[in-house]
Amino acid sequence: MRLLRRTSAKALLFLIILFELSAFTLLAFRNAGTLDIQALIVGGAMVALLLFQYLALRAFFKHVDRYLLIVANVLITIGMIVQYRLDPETAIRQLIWIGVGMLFMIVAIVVVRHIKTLLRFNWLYMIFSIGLLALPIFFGRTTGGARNWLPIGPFAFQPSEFIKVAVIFLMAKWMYEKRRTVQLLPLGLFVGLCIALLVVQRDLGAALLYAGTALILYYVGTGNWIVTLGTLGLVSAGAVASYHMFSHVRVRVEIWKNPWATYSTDGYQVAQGLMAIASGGLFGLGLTRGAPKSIPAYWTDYIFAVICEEFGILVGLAVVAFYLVIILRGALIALGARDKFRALLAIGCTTLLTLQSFIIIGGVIKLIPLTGITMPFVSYGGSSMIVSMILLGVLEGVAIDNGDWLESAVDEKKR
Amino acid sequence: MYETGFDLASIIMSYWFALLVLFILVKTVQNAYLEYKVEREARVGLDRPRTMAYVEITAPEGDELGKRFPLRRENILGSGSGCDIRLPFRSVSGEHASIFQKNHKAFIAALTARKGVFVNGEKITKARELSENDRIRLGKIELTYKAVKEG
Repeated sequence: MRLLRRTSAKALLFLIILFELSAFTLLAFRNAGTLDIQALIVGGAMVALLLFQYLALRAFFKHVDRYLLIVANVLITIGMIVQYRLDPETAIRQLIWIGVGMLFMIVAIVVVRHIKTLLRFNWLYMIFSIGLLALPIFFGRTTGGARNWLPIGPFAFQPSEFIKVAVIFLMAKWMYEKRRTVQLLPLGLFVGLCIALLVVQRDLGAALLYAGTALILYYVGTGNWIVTLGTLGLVSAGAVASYHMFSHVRVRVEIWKNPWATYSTDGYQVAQGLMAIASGGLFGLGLTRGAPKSIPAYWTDYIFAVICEEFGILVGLAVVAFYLVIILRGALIALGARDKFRALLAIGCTTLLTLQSFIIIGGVIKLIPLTGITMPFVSYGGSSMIVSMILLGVLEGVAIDNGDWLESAVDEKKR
Repeated sequence: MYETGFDLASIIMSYWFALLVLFILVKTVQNAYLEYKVEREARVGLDRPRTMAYVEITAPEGDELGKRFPLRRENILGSGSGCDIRLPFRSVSGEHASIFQKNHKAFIAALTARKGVFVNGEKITKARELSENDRIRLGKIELTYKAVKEG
């Protein structure tokens, strides 16, 4: 079956490695007179990780979607370079998270292929999800105005990051099995409750992400535009109501309208981000020559501004384009899926990954009001990196399944 | 102009990075498109049926009488514009029935409960295998299933 997989993706991987190595070599010389060995080691470790991931996946799964993998690797690489430039210690932690994430990706690939039996206890998962989402309200830690972190010993994690994967699986299962709108009511209730809990925690970015993904997935799954538009109206009404009810929503919208009016207080972050993007120009100031630390949350939510400042808007646009490639590949995987369940899973994961990136990029470039959320694959963060990798793993799992099926069908036809 | 040689190197490298990232982007899109084309061809090849089966409109009398529709691996029958076999009649639902191949046999299944699908006068409730000269009724339209073996 050379027919199916003949174009080369390995060359692209080597280009990524070249990018990685040249950037880390540059970073190694940033302290005048001394060679930073650590930079070279971290760069080398990252290269080893990329090679290992790619070769291992190609060895075990013949039909892995290589271009999704390439896109994810480019984004991870850009993120890693920027993290190391910002703070080597965070970067090393990020490197560990990337490694853990890759393991989770492989687990996700294996699990997705046997998922239907595991999803039999879907009521249990629903109750568990709601419970886990509710926990931060009582035991949570507040960062950046949102009470969405759950400390466990020395670590802290964001339940909302993990539950979004569960929501995708549950939605896909329900819409696969039940066809009538009335039968989907419990599912709607469940998703609505999740979103309500997120709003209570003031995690508006996640709430927006859940609502958007659920709506898109519902429309894709049922094609019922009456219910979709009705729910969209309901969500919009909720958004307007929250604008009038909560002061922090009003503040966000005010900043969005004019960040310069409150430059020294609330609007500082958005204004700084815009200035950073503007100062970068087309090709950027050059790695290490910007002043990214003047932007609050530069290592997570605002990393896009840092990329634009030091690599330039061209690379920033390329990052956006890479997310668009994820949409295209994800849609193709969903179209080729064997059944509706897998198609919905693929669409759900694609939507989550890309909608999340557009919510935060849109916020950073002042296209929409800023809501704090991480940028998949690029931002620093253990929960975020692991979940992005799991979503990628699910997509790859469906792609591998498609490939295996297509190959056996073509072989059968030939006989 | 530049404080150190490092600054100069950093600026030069910024062009290199932009070039590299854009090149990777263009190549990824191009390769992905090529692969998509190859895969689509493989799928289209699969769609070609083993037997030259078709359905023919056999009732009622009218302009459409005798019209033949070749069957593919999966066919949606209905009055909607997205259907593989389009039957633009008021008595036919938007997506009324589907005829699909499984293990080299043809099956018919109803996609709508309201108007019903009848094979040889019997209303079908689940997928039913089709055999030569079966009469399929959708609304007021009657189709006859014909399977012509290859060779």
